[in-house]
Amino acid sequence: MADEFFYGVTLTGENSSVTWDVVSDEDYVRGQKLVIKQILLGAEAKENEFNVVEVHTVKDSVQIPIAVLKAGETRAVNPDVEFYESKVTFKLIKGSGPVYIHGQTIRDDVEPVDMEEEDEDDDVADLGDDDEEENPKKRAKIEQNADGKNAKNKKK
Amino acid sequence: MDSESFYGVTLSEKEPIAQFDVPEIPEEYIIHSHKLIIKQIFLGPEAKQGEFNVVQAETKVSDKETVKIPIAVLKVGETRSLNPNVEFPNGSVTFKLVQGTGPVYVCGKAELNLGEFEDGQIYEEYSEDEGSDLDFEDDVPPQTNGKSNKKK
Repeated sequence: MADEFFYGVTLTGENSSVTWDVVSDEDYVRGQKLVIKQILLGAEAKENEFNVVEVHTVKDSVQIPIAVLKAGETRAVNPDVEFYESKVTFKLIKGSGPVYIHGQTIRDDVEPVDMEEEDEDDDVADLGDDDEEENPKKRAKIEQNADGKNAKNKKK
Repeated sequence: MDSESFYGVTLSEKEPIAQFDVPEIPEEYIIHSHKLIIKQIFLGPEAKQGEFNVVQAETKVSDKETVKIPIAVLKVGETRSLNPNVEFPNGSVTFKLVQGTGPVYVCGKAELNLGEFEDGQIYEEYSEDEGSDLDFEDDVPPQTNGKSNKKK
């Protein structure tokens, strides 16, 4: 099962920043990721002022704007970008905001498909095979005993 | 078993709140996961000029914390609609028109992933197989007893 949650943070003013990081938890075998779906300018933002959101990822050492917003021109953008297994920082490098960042966090602890299920079936089949191997022997013994018994009965 | 449904609500000054909850399901099913995806939020033609319409969402962001944050800011003459494409997995969400008179339409879809109580049936099949094996073994002991009697 993957742990998924809505992600929503606010950059409140010039130079404010927010960080997301992976949780150091061994249970998340398939990794953790942050997906950014929308970056939105608040109603209080100043007219004609550019608001620029820059992202910095530690793993890839990338620092680049991912949103340029301006009241009266671009109220929101839909990046649909993903950040996998890396610490990420969002910073309002220009403008006074507020800017809202929306997305979701996905922490996947689904274990890789293993061959155990097939092995279990084989075990059941093996048990069946064992029984079949034993039964002929048992049958042979039983038949021998039965013959012996019948022979004695006949003698009497 | 997967189920999808269209989600559409209207927010206005008179009815500013819409609540989405984990749906109730019949007893034979269990919920594996469910998710609400908001695809589009937009202003009706009657919306007033010069007024900001702000939709806020309130939902859980972890097992312990909830957040209230605007997810749409609309204004006649500037932004008629937005396509947030945001997802709300596994929890309740409350949408509220915290600014403006609307009407604001919120559309998307609700996905539901259910499991039937098939798991119980699968285990019953295995136990039936084991039962047949046991029956076979039960047939053997009486004959073995016959054998031991014969020795005496």
